[in-house]
Amino acid sequence: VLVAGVDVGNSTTEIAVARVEPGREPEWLLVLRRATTGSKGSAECADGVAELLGRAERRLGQRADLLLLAELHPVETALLELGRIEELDLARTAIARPASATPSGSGVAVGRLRALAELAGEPEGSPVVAVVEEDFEVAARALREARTRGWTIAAAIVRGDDAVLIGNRFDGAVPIVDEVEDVARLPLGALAAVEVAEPGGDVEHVSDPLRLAVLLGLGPDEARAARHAARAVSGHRAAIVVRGASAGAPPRPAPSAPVTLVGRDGGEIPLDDRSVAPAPGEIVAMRGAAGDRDGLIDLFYRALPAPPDDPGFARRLARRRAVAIAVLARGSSGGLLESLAELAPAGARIVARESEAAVLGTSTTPGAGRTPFVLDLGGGTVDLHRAGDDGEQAVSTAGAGELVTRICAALLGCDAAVAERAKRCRSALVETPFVLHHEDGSRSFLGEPASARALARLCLLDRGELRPLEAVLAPEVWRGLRRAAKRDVIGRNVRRAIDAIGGVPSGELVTLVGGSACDAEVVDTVAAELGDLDVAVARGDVLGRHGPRAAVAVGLVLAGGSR
Amino acid sequence: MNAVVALLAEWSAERGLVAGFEEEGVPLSCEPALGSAEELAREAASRSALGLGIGGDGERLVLGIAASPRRPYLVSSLDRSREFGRAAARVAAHRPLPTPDW
Repeated sequence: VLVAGVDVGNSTTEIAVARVEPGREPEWLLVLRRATTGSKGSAECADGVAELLGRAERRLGQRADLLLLAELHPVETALLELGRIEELDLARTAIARPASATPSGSGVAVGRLRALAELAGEPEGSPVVAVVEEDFEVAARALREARTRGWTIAAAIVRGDDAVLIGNRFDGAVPIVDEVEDVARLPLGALAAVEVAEPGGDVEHVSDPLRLAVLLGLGPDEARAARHAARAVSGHRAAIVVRGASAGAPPRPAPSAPVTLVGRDGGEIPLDDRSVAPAPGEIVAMRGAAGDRDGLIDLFYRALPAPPDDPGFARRLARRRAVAIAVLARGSSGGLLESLAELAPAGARIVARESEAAVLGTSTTPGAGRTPFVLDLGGGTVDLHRAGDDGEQAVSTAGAGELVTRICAALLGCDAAVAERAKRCRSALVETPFVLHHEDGSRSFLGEPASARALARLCLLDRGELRPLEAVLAPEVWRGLRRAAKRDVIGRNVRRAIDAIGGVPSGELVTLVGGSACDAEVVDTVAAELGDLDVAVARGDVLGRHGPRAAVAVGLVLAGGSR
Repeated sequence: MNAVVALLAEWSAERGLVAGFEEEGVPLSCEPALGSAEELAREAASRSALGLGIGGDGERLVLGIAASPRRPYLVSSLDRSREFGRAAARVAAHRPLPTPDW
């Protein structure tokens, strides 16, 4: 008979098809996989399974007679992100904007915002910051004339990419920032600070809250609120900060914690993204800004990593306060077994617990013998399976490959599809049309020039192609951040899972399977994380040919054959 | 030798090119010439210290690289001389081009 082991994971569904005869080893025919349809264990999963079975039938010319399944524990995984709380607060007191790749002049200056046309009138006694939408020659002439007639031009804010052109024709010392798209929305008459640092440097006045408060005439109370504006512009070469209309109003009370966690004992604790996520099972519900959820099996959160030697980068990220939260909750199976039974002539049968199947399938790795500890590094969860003589044990922790993807997307400011590739690919900076600067600092020469779009950008080395990213990061820095994301999520969750089953004995074999285990960097991360345990960490190679994939599906066929 | 050379059959592009290069702080020398944009870009690249040359005719502006003369590196219509100048100067200075224009 032809049987199919079916493993429906949070993000991937896999089938292993084999011909089994009593008293013989299974004849392995095919392993197929696709993205899971619906949440794990729900009835919608049957659609994905049906598609895989159809594909197998076309390839083999024969339909699978019987489906073999693991016990169903429907779970839901979700990823949530906290909003950018501070940006809302910022809008009240100030408009802060990093600006300009090619500013003009240097230093910091303060003045009232005036449109260029207003400078044709009677000069004011106090300094002004000119707001320029005009072409550079017109603008430079108007600024020169205004100065001659007695205006004090402290700085200029320009819509186009004209700062250097205007500076060359007006005054090369006056700070001028450009590429400020929405100059028309700046509140004329308001006090503005403009700062330009030397090439390669960062602003130092407007990024200091107290100095900023002095520059913009804010009171001691508001100096504390000015920290948001200071943070928003720190780490940039040029920046403007404009005193907002409601500055001077009494500051609002600080918003309370946006997310509250409910512990097993019913106690409520505010989510602090700098704290360590509690052990699996400690948190049973969450409330607040990221939605209300009950029935949690696990909850995991992590603030974004930052390069340790770049405080500017760290402060820019802190402004976003992006926190990635993964939750794992009980779901309902809603007739999945019944739906699957209709897909094969002999129906569907539950033959093993998932842990048992994972260990059986992983044990087919050449040279492994028996693999009692299996870490399944999937998309939504890190699952630890232990099968000993005293029975099986399994722990699921929320947050795995998809959470790493989310963190990569937030760090790079890209969408999930690009982040998915960025997570797995090496990167390189295209230094010149012919020279690549790699993550380890080495250089290589290109036979054909890199495209102009890729020039001077960090690019993914994706299947022989250069895919430019928007983010301005050195390849070494990006590698550090990417590895930190994997360590923070997968390494950390491996540790939580191992702690939850009471550890792994010294000298024991821990075998890694699942989609995330295909990534050599993840395997390295886990091995490093478990360095103190003195265990052998190895990647599974199911049936000696599927790598770390399909362990559960293959294990189900093996379990079914023995019954 | 000049950093970047532009050979222009159509002189109206000169103002925009020069402004684009000035904003990026990259020196450019422009000369009138006769020929197609691609031919002129090749010729200009061979005369440039950086191996980067611009050619312009009545329709197009082309940036050529001396090390890869077969294909134009950047191409634009004549009416976008300022944006093209800025992009070409960024290529010379090894700065990323503004997206999504290019």
